[in-house]
Amino acid sequence: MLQVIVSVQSLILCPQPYFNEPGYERLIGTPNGKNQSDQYDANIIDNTLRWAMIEQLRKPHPAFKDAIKAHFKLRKSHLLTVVKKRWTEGATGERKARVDGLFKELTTELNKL
Amino acid sequence: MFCLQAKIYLKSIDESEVAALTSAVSTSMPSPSARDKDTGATNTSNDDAGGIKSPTMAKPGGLSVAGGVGIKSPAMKNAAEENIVRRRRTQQESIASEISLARLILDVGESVSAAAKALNPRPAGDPARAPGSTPGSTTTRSKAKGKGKGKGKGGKGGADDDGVVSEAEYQAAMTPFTYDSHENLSDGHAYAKEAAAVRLFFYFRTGNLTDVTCVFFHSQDLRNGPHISRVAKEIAGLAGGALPLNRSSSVFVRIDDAKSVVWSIMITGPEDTPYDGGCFIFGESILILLVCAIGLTSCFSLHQLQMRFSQAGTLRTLRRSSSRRPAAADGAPTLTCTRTARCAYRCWARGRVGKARRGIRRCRRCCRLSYRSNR
Repeated sequence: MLQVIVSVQSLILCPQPYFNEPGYERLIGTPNGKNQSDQYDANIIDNTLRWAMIEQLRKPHPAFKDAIKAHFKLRKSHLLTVVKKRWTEGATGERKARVDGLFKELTTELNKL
Repeated sequence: MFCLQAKIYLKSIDESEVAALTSAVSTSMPSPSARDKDTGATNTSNDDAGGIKSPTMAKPGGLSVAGGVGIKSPAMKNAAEENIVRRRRTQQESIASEISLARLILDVGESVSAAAKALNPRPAGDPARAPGSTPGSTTTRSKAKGKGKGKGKGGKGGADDDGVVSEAEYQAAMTPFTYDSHENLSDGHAYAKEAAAVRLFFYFRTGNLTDVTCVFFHSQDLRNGPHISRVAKEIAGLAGGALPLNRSSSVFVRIDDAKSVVWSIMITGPEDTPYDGGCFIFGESILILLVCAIGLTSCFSLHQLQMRFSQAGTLRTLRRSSSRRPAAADGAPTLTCTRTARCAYRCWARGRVGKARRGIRRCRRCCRLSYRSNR
């Protein structure tokens, strides 16, 4: 089980998950591949913000409640500075508004802690 | 809690082991007539029973059946004798392996608690990391809560200054949370039903054997049975502090108090990925693997299970090695299962083929645990 867990952690939650999708491995290093991967990542970022952060702060899983709260308390500054900067960097137009909105929600939830 | 169970298991095994080994000696070299009786019994019931039974139960079952069967012709004797001897040997091997595993669990548990005490002078941290009893872990939880809050405030204060919580600080604050048991984890858990179905499955598989049926059918939950040594081993490994815990990404595991096969796992997203800092909870995909693994190990033996990872890192193939299992009664070869874990499990639970997946042919003999694929 430990092997399974560590594999999930390192191989699935990886920097460029787009290239894990079947058939896209050969696009690694090409401009087209990078473009596609960025789009894919943007989608993941939205969902991470919405479900893995805001939703977990609002309605934490009962078994992990303490762990989630402690985790976000400790990671608050990192999320609101480094991560926010990196994730909003290339965003424009509609997407920028969406990500900014999500970060605003996240900030209010984090301030409640 | 699992240490305790392993102890109980070991004790029961030690007693039955002596009995089983003596009986094995006495039945493997009896007078010719007794040998023939045993032969008849073996031919009728062995191939159904061979893989399913826990080795400790196998002996009494085989003996009790040996009573009322007629005498066979001498031509069949040699082949049948060999068969019996081989079977006894494999059973003895598997008994020995289970015992050694139980001992291993005890050793691991002891060394883990000793190491935790030596490394960690804080009284609160120790029981959380060692596989302790339930009341112990609840008190730990309440203590840890207060502690985490205190530390959290400290971290926040530090964050205002330089914006960074140090690695050591994070680890110290989060250590109490890594492993715990939870009371009602199976309520609303995606696979709670499947975990219960495994019991049913034991019943189906052992339906024609009175001895074994009693044992499995009366087991109230999945904490009893031959698979528990495997679960205990997994949990001893996790609870011993093997779980990754870093500021960047860490893993938290919760195990249900009553059903030790119901797990929830939370992984926090690693830095520099689109998952950074998020809390991802896996209740499902991992549990079903575990349930499947347990189903397999209790049906065959601890060594027949092989897991293989595909390149993407997901567990795609779960197959049985054919080395230890004798060919089926009608001479059909033992086939390799290349279904996904989930599919195979469903298939067994129902006793027939579930929805056929793409690239996998339906198999007629699926309920007898042989599979074919058009790989």
